[in-house]
Amino acid sequence: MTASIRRRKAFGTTALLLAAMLIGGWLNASSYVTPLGPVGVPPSVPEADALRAETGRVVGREILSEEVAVLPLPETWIPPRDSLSSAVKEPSPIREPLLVMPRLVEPVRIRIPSIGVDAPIQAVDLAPDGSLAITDDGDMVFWYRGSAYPGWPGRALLAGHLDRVEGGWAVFAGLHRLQPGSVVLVELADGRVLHYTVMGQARAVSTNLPAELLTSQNESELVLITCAGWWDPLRRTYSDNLLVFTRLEGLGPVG
Amino acid sequence: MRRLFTVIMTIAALAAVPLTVAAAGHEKARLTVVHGVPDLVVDVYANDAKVLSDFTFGTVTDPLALDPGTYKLAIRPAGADPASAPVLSAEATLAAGQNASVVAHLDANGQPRLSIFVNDTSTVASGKGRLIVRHTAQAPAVDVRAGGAVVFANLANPNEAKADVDAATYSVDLAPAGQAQAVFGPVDLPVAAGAATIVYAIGSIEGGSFRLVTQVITGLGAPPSHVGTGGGSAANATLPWTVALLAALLALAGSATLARVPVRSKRNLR
Repeated sequence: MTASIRRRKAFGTTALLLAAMLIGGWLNASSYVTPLGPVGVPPSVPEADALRAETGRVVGREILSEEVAVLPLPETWIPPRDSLSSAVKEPSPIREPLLVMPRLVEPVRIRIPSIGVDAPIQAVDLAPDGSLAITDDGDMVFWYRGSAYPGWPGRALLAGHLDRVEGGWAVFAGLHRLQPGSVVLVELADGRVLHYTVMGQARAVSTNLPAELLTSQNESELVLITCAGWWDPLRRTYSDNLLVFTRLEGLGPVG
Repeated sequence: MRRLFTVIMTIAALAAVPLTVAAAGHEKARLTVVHGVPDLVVDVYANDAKVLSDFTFGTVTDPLALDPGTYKLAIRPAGADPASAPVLSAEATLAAGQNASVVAHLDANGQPRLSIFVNDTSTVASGKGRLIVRHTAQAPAVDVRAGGAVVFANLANPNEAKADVDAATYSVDLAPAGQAQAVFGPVDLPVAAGAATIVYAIGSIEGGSFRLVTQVITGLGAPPSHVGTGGGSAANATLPWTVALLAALLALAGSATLARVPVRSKRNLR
């Protein structure tokens, strides 16, 4: 074997190994991160578990379970929509209430003091292609109407942008800094504030979100979601999504 | 060439780091209890343990989270001896993740009974809501009408009818099956998107206690296939592409150089 062949062989092998290390290291570092709290099995909070064991009830729904009696509408008087939901709790002296409904109240604002988030919430549905129908607004947080209502059993999904089309970071850029125990406050349309704490984070490939993302019916939870990983300029999307799991603790401070 | 193969396999192995998302662990079953027997205050027992006290007509509980299994349900007058004979009893088998409702109600002849319904929590299409109506009242079979049109025809005690409808507030009334004159309503019934709205007719028309009570299960929308929360302007977002390009160039140079190395086995043949 001549020296030049040996040199070529050495160079070629080194180059390939280097390429392998670059690709492997990059994939390991940026695209795939072991979930801290696995999707579907959030870490448990002893007090909440104890409360549930004691009462057999879901904490959140209990808070929101005040029911409202909707009275039959006399033909001559149609009340404004608002007064229906804040209506009479006592049965009318003349007629019994005919329909009793629990209140469904949409979230309107989210505050995460530890990362300086204070943003309005807009309710959205799915687009025809099955993706979440959010706008480009980097200051808005989007609640998926098909996820749980905040405070009700199941998972409420709130999405916010990582960065802006026009440049700069967006509302959920600091989401990765949230630690277990960080506080998340969600204000409802009726002024009540729900107090959540962070349980953990997970990463998922954005083209392969876990099918069980919204199926937890055991807890009243909030899942915050934004983008992560690397930007694919061809598909115009990030490779991953960052998921932050939070659990409802109770009613939070107002204001 | 074997070395090149080894290198390629190394790249493949490093690239194929699996992302495992743990499946949902052991899931509880959920049971909602509905009280539809007028003038009767009761305690509710599951497997001889009291789960509800002083439960009154027209109440719909929050869902109880129960371990999957078979439950003996018993209803006794409020404060009655737990060892006494129950007014009503039934057995319910709940599978993991199953969502069911048990209703104490009057049958068509005014006799109390327990009925168990499994709640349909399958996903609803975007913008739709699921409307479920359960006839658990002392009343004849009815047509359920929304905005004057019959939605569910000839619904009789103790059956249910359901449909996925556009999310909206409907003006609902009830008429004896096949008749035009409503016996109840109209009332405004909101059907929320991504949720099941379960309406129970309870009480007795004759006795004047007839009413509708409602249970709502939210979060039934399909999970989004994609959440595009990126604008692509973050400074480091394109760094991986530089890395990938560099890696590709190196790989190309490496393979090209190796390809020019004479293969030993061939030389030996000479």
